[in-house]
Amino acid sequence: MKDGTILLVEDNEDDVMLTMRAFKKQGILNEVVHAKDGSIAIELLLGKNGFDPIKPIIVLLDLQMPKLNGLEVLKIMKENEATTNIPVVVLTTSSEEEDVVKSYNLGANSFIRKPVDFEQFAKNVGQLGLYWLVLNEPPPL
Amino acid sequence: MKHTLITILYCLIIAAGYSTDLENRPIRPIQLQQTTITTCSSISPVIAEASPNSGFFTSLLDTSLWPARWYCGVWTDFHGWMYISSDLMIWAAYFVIPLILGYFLYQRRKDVPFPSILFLFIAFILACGITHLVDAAIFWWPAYKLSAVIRLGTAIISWGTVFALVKVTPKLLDFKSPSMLENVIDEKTKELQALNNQLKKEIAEKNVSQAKLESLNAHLEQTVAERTESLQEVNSNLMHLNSLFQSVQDAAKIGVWEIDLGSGSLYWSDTVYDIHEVPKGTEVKLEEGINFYHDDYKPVIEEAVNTAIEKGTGWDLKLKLITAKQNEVWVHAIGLPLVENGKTVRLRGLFQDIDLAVKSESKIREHQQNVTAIIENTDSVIWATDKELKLTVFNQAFTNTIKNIYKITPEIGMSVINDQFKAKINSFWEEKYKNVFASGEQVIWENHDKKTDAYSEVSLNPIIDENDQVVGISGLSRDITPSKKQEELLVDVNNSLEEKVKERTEELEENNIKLLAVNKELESFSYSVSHDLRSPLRGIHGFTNALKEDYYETFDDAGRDYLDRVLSGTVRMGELIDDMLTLSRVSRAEVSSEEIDLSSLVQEIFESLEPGKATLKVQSGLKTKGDLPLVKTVLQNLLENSIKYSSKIANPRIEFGSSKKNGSTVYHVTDNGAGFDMQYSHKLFSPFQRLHHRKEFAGNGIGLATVNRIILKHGGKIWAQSKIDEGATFYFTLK
Repeated sequence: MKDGTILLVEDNEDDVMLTMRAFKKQGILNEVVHAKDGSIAIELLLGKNGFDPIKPIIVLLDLQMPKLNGLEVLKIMKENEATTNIPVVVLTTSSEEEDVVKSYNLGANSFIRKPVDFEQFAKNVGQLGLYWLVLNEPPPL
Repeated sequence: MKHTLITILYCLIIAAGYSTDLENRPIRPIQLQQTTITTCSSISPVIAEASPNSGFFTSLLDTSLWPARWYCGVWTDFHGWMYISSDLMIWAAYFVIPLILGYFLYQRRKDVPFPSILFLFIAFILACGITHLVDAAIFWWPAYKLSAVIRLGTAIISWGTVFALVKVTPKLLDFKSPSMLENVIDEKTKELQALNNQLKKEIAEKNVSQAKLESLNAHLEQTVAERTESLQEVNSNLMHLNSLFQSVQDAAKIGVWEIDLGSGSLYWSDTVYDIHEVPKGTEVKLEEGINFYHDDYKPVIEEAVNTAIEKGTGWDLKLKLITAKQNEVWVHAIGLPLVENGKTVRLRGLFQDIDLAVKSESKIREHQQNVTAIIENTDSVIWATDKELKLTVFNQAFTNTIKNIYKITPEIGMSVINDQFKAKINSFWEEKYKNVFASGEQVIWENHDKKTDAYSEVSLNPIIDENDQVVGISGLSRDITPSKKQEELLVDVNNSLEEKVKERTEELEENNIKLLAVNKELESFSYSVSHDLRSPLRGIHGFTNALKEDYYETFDDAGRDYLDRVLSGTVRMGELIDDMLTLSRVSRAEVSSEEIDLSSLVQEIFESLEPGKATLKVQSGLKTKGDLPLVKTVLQNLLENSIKYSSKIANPRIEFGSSKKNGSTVYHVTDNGAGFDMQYSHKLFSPFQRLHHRKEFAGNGIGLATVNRIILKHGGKIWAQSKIDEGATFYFTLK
């Protein structure tokens, strides 16, 4: 498993806790940086408001968030050279086709729906980790 | 006579034969000189011995009893030869004389008097000649017996001749001498000359009359020739007239007939036979002729005939005939009596087949009656005019109208442009009529009588003959007030309706906008449901799960059971939310149309599900057009149901196929599972309606509602057929 930071962009505290629990259950021990909304995520990624820019190996992005929503974050990331190559996995409650299409159009690398069943969710997160953190070869930073 | 000639000939032959012998035989005159005495009686005893009575005629040529004459007595050569030559000369002369007589007789046998005497003479002379010949022969050939017989014959003939001569002598005396004859001839000649002169005179006279006759004859011939020529001319004229008459008869189907009232004989020409359909030449009597008439017309013709006979008047009638072949034919019968001495002796006349004319006449009449009935059976005003705008036909309504307006009664022949009408009206109508004549087309307009508020529609139509010439005009004026009023009413209603429609449209448009807003709201609502309901649910599930895992020991069995129920409840609620979202998404989705390989799709979906022990049979090659994701949802739901409801039986079998019904393709998914009670089949496709308990078969009753929505969106239909425990079949169509 590759070292490196995972950026989790999620406004729902419960979901953050459950996601962290799922990581732990699936043995994903990478450092997780949590941004509680889209604007903070952009600040972190681009180093604004006194933050040093971070270079996560993957961004887990929720769509439904106050201020900047997930799609807007994705758009900004793909427009910036510094962040355009960072893999983005849209991890959301929605399964609206429109959201899926828009996400992929904006350059999302994966789209994962968070199921109600936690065990199912944990399994999905595990598979996500296996792919992006073990099998995938990230671009040179 | 014939016999005599034969006898003579016979003798001649014998003589010839002996003359031959004579030449061959050595003549012995020298012996005669040597023997001075010769006796003739030396052989007398032989005679004595010989029987004088028997054999005389059997041995006529026997010469043995006598010596040749040369040896009987003493003959000098001179004496002997004189004797012999004289005898021969006599014979020769006697032979030639009968020949001459015979020739004479042969040449003039008809006018020779007493020819039998002549024959006797011939025989008598011949016989005499032969005795002389035999006498000469006896010098060498002593046939005395023969000689005797010949002499006897000669004697008999001579006497016969004597008797005959005696008998005819008186007749011979009547024969005139030549001088007498000459006298007679002279007399006769004179008579003849007189006669001749007379004749010549008569001939001369006759020649004169002959000449007269000839000239007469020539004149006659000329007259005959002239007469013949004129007759020929007349004849050819007659023939021409006859053929003319015949062709007229044929063309007009006119026949002629004649009755001789005296003999009762009836003559019919061929045409008359044809009209009666009776074979030509059949003998017909007057009564039989009358019997051919139709019963209604028999009295008519009978009366006509009787009147003709009694009063000598003719008839000219149209009658109906029943032909020999039972056809009804109308005929024109003309009868003319021939009166002699004040008495009708013959009836003759013409007979014409006018069936076609009568029938077409009656048809025309019928047609006219029909037309009259039609034009009278209406309140509309109908009339027609000729080229000069004079009335030819009009109906009662026309009469009434003209009477009402102009106080005159229209008549046939009256002009429709009339001085009694107002000038303005006349010029108005005249122009309309002119237009029709000029264009040859219908002219139509509407009139509105302001006084009575009555509307009428007037049309003028050209009457066109077979040469496409306008020969008149027909007019029709009909009251259209009711329909006009109705029309006005309709226009009002229409206007108010249009207004209402406009109002309603505006309302609807408003509603539509509202609905669109609502729809938008609903969309965002379902979006929120998707997010905002599921998120806490996931939290509940997640943390309950964490409780169960992390604090497992803390809970007793009941506590753990509660946690499990919370977990399963949240999962089910999640599913419910998902299904509701699907349903709402389907409702909002726009249906695209693409080619779908149904057979492959069904197979693919079936394999992606967990079919358990169920087997699938798919009809191959089924293709349709539709929205792939939506159709896939339909098939997925139906297949899931089939698998689910047949999961409890031993050999679950699922089948997908199609059939044709009323021209459209009906697809079906069949299973042999639990089935359902058809009593509740109407609830099948409503959301949240279930026909089974959750404990029996899981599910929340959204699936078939979703399927129904998709099928409806495709313009199709879905229905089901089932029996409890006998499986179920879901049928659907896609347009």
